[in-house]
Amino acid sequence: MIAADSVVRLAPGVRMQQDAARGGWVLLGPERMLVLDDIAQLVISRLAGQSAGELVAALAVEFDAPVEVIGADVLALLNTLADKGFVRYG
Amino acid sequence: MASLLPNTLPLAMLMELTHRCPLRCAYCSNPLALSPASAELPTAAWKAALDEAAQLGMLQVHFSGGEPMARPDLIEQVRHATARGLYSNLITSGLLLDAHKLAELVDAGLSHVQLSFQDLDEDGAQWVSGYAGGVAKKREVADRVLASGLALTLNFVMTRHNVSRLSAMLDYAESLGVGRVEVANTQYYGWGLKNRAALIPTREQLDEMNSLVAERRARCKGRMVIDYVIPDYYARRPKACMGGWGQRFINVMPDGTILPCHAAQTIGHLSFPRFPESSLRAAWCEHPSFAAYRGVDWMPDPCGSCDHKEQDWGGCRCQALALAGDASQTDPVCERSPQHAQVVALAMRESRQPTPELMLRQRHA
Repeated sequence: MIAADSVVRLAPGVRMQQDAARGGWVLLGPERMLVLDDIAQLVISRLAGQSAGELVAALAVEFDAPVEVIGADVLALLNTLADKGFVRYG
Repeated sequence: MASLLPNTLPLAMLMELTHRCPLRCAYCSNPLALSPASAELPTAAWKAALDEAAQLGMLQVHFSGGEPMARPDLIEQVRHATARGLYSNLITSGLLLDAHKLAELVDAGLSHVQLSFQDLDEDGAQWVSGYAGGVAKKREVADRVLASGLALTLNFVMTRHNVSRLSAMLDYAESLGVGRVEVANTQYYGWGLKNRAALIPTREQLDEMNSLVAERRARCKGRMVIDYVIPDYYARRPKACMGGWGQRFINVMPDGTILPCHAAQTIGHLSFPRFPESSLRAAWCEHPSFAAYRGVDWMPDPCGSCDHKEQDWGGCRCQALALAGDASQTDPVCERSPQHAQVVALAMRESRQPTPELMLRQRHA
């Protein structure tokens, strides 16, 4: 499970790009693709070698929202992405 | 009828660059009548297909075959796909993937490699593929691909002759640290259909595979994804073949024939357009073959009145033809099909019989 001290990154062979034909953003990986909502797109775009906790703290400041609320949502999202093979963590 | 028109343009293109292959796998799903090298599309035509794919908003392209590396212009095609913003996947046996070619593929921007293993045992692999010493070579290729930094999926092809090594296969994948594995039981199309009686696992072996995969998935959760394909004769519900006919994928054969799936030519009453005489868009949006089984309006009962019809899209049309004699029937692997009991009985019977002699895929014309 991804926790606050986990460092999360996109898995090898996974990339995020705009879907010009249908609009919005998609995550592309081996034999899979995922249509992203705005929040998922934002979280993934901020993955930059920091811990999940640091990422959450930064988002909480940026959006002026409680860390507990953002933290629960972000960790749930990242764990779902890990289960589908889109991100890896250590 | 509105529903015969596509709701969306295709998301991905499967490019069967060639039917040539160093292996002669008895489960190969290429057609029995292989395309000769002389009929293959030239480089410029494949590049035009990539241009159109990107223009239509497709996101991914799969280079397949046969062995796509048998095409000397593969690197050029990958580079072109990259330039058009397409995610590129190489589906390969690995046997032609030397260090030099790999470096070129990385430089061309390849996104992902899927490497097939017929077995981890050399004799087993040779029996089903007609190729000696392949396992050792493939292990070297896997190491090389990982060292290059490219994403790698291992594809283990399962038959009743290698189920006992599934655990070792998953150990191997775990030891390499790959992010994704396919445990893919052979499907029964093309050469695979001819050899079904020699390949299909027993019901007990399926149970064994099911529990091995479930156990390993739990253990590797978050680290290694296992995509698992069962021999669907034993399934209760059919697979959503190609995500629905003419709904997600477009397939281009070595000679440019444009298909909704790679086995669609077995449906003899359909004729298919060919690239570049037909554009991909015209094939997708206007050709009767793509409209034939798209959506749900074509479905007879039990599919027509089934609440799963927009999940599995009636299953596989080619399998309906092969097993029920009619491509518009419910895929007989579905438990709601009147032929379902016969299909399960057939699988049980064939899987328990002594293995007949394999008919290896024909050497390339």
